[in-house]
Amino acid sequence: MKPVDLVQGTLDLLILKALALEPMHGWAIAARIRQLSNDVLLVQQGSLYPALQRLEHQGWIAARWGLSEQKRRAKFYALTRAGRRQLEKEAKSWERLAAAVSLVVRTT
Amino acid sequence: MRLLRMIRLRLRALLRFGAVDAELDEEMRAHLERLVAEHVARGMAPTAARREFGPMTQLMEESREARGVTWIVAAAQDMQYGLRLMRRTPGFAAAATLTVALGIAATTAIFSVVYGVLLRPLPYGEPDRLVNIWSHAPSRGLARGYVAMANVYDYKARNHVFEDVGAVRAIANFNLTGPGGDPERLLGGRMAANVLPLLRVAPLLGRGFTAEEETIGHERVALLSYGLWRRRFGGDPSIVGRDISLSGVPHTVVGVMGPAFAFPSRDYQIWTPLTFDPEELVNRLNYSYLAVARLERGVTLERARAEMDVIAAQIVREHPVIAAGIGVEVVPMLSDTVAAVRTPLYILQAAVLAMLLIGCANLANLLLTRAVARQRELAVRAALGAGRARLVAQSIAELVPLMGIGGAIGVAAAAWAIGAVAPLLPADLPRAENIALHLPVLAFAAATMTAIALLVGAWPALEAARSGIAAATADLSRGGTGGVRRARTRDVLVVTQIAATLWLAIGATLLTRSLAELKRVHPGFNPEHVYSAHVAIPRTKYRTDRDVAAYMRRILDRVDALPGVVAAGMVNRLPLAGGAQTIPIEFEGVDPAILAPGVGLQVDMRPVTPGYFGTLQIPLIAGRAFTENDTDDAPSAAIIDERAARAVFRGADPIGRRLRFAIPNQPWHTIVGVVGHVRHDRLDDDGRPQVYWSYEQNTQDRQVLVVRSAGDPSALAQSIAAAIRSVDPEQPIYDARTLDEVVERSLAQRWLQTALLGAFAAMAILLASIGVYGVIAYSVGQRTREFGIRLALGARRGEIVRAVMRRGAALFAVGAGIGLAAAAASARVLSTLLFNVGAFDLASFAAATMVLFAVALAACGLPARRAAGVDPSVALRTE
Repeated sequence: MKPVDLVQGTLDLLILKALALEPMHGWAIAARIRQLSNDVLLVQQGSLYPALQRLEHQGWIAARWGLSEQKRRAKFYALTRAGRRQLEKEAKSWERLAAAVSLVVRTT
Repeated sequence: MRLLRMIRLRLRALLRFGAVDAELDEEMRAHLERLVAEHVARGMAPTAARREFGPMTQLMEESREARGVTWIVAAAQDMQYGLRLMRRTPGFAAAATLTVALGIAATTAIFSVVYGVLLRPLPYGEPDRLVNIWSHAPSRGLARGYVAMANVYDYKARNHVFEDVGAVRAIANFNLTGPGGDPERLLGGRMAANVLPLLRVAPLLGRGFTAEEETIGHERVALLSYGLWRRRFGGDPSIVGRDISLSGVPHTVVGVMGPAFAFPSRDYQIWTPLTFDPEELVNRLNYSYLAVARLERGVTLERARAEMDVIAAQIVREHPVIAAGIGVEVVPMLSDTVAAVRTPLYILQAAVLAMLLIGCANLANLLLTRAVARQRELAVRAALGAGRARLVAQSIAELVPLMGIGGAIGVAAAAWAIGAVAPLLPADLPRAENIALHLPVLAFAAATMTAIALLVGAWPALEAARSGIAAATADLSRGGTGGVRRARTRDVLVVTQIAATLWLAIGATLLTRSLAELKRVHPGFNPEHVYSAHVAIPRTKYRTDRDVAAYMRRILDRVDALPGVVAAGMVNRLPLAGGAQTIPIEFEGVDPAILAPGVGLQVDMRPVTPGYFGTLQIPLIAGRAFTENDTDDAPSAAIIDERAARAVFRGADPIGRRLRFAIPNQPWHTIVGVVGHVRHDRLDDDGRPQVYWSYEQNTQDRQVLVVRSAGDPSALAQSIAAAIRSVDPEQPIYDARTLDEVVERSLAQRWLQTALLGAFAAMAILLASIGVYGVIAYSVGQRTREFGIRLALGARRGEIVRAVMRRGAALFAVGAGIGLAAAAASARVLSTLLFNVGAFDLASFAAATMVLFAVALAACGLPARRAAGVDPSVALRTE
């Protein structure tokens, strides 16, 4: 199956979801998204970064420099309390949307 | 916590722009390297990794946008660019900054007056619910007057619309003596104890009055105004509880009011409790009280008015003789206070905004010219993908430094102007103490600046964006005519300027003519060479009428003996000095129906000394003037003015006829003379007829001394004061000035209006002439080649001049048409300010139009001559 293009705004949800477990750096986030979606969702890896900047400036994630597992300097992103709330909200609305879409798909 | 972190992030993104970028760059590079390494390990090309990662530069740019602060960075860059532009074109920068500064200064200064006087809420609690209650009796010739104490009691007892009704009575002559300065006359108010709670103000120090202090015997307490407290008592808080001497009677100071308290006006400096003769509740004659009330919450003004009308009608039914024809008026306190100046102030505000508009048109013109010069730059920006919004934003951001500097200068100039003009403000301008750069005034200035920036900034950018790249580049190759469309934009600007200027000029001409008319009005007396001084005689010292009259005579004897004095006299109210005292009069054997039904003739009541008519040179027309023989035991005599004689006796001889106050149980007075009529209230309002009595037969304690001198009357000031003090060293003298000054002061508001409007109009004419010159000169510059060709083909120079002038004349005609229409449309408002000049006064309209036409012609003439002087060979080679 061909990878599906990301719906606008979904990348934010995916990043927040990926960070829900533990703080991680960009590379790991990309890997986690791929893993979470069983390789169905393909993220253009570079586009993570504008999204990360946006989420950070909205106060949903916070960044801190640290050392990666390869012992290189890397920026680790963590979910803030506001981010966790946002994740719940977005997840819920996503579920509603998904349910609605699948309903439409089934009835036609 | 979250907020703090976000602020820190944004600040960092803004201030450490480079560092943030570098970090992101490092992060993305590390990611990409790892991706490449992974691909290579799997045996794939590094380019595939790059493709999977995405375009680096674009992602960087997107990240910057995501930080949400790029627009600020861009705006800051544009502003910096604007500053550089200003430095590069200092002439343009100076002209534009000066225009903005001038416009902001004038608008802000005038708005500070409009706000301080008209709009600023009264310094009381919930001031919107406060009203003044007036009596009015149009059938008695009284537009509006104070109320009687009996009315206040009736209103209070019968109404269901007010929370409370209070009263205050002006006391003209409190004579403050004792340590701290010379004897000083103070305007004070007897104020009911419930007034302060009604207004919802508390004294700054001490307390207000108690109900008990309203009873005679307990009323010797006083509240000081803030100004008096600071000035006379050095702001000493221990004054509360101490005694001060008011007209020789000790009063205990119970409190000091705050600096904002100016009730009923800023002239009041001291208050004592309201006491009155209980007889007033029975005879209902003394209409001397200002009634104030607070509307119940939720009660509308209309409902209050309706109910008060009913109550007033009841009072008339219950007291058919005394109260006949007396109605009631309920007016919101603030608008009541400023009613007389509202229209003039709004007209000035409109005038100054018109001037601002004219200045803005010049500014827009300058910017248009610059936009043409920068056409290539704008075109290139547009070609590189800058949207219309971006171009407009840039154009406005570039203006910010100019606006900021011009605006700051303007506000500073306004602050200076307010300080400089404050002492010149007419004494009768209400609430003048509120004029300052209050916050709303600054907000108004900021809003004006923003409006200018949006208006003049957006326009050229939109023009540039609209005309597009093709037009721009095409034009550029030929040296840039700016295109037809831009020429039309300039035409619109010039037409606007001419219309607004003509509108202003007509208004200024009308006011000037009106003022000239007013100065021609003969007031009925000769103010030249007369000095006047108010003298409030304390009844505590001069108890009987006889004592007062004797004291007056002693003062006059001393003054008469001064060298240089031609004549001297006294009167209770000086003409044109504000303040009136009126009384209804009936005449023996004259049907009152020919006057006012049932109530007689309302006249100015004037007790005078024998020398008064001679001093003011009020002509004696028939009979005799008063003499020292008209004493209190002689038969009571009266002198009427020619207007009363005409209205009442209609040609018959009034001498020997009798008159009396139209109040029950009054004695008759015999008319012994007729004198000329005097305009007492205002030059532009003929007011009432006058009736005079001898000061010995009708004695009052508030007097004005008038002295006619051989030379300069103000030279007498010192010796007159000394003469009065030689009779009684404790006698305060106030409001002392020449009669010419008194007349001038009565015209001060009109004079200031006229001067300001005239100044605005002159400024507008100057700005508009610059505007016309600029546009015509520009168009001549653009057409140099055309003129060169025409001249080369044999056109005469006169034709070229005519062509240029024709264009100017056409623009003028359209602008003047609009301006004349606007002047005609606003005539109704302006007519309320005019005296003896019609709002459609043809001469004023014509004169203003001619002046502006001449100026416009001159502004066109210069460029026209330059056009005619074009050398064809040079013009054709300018490519």
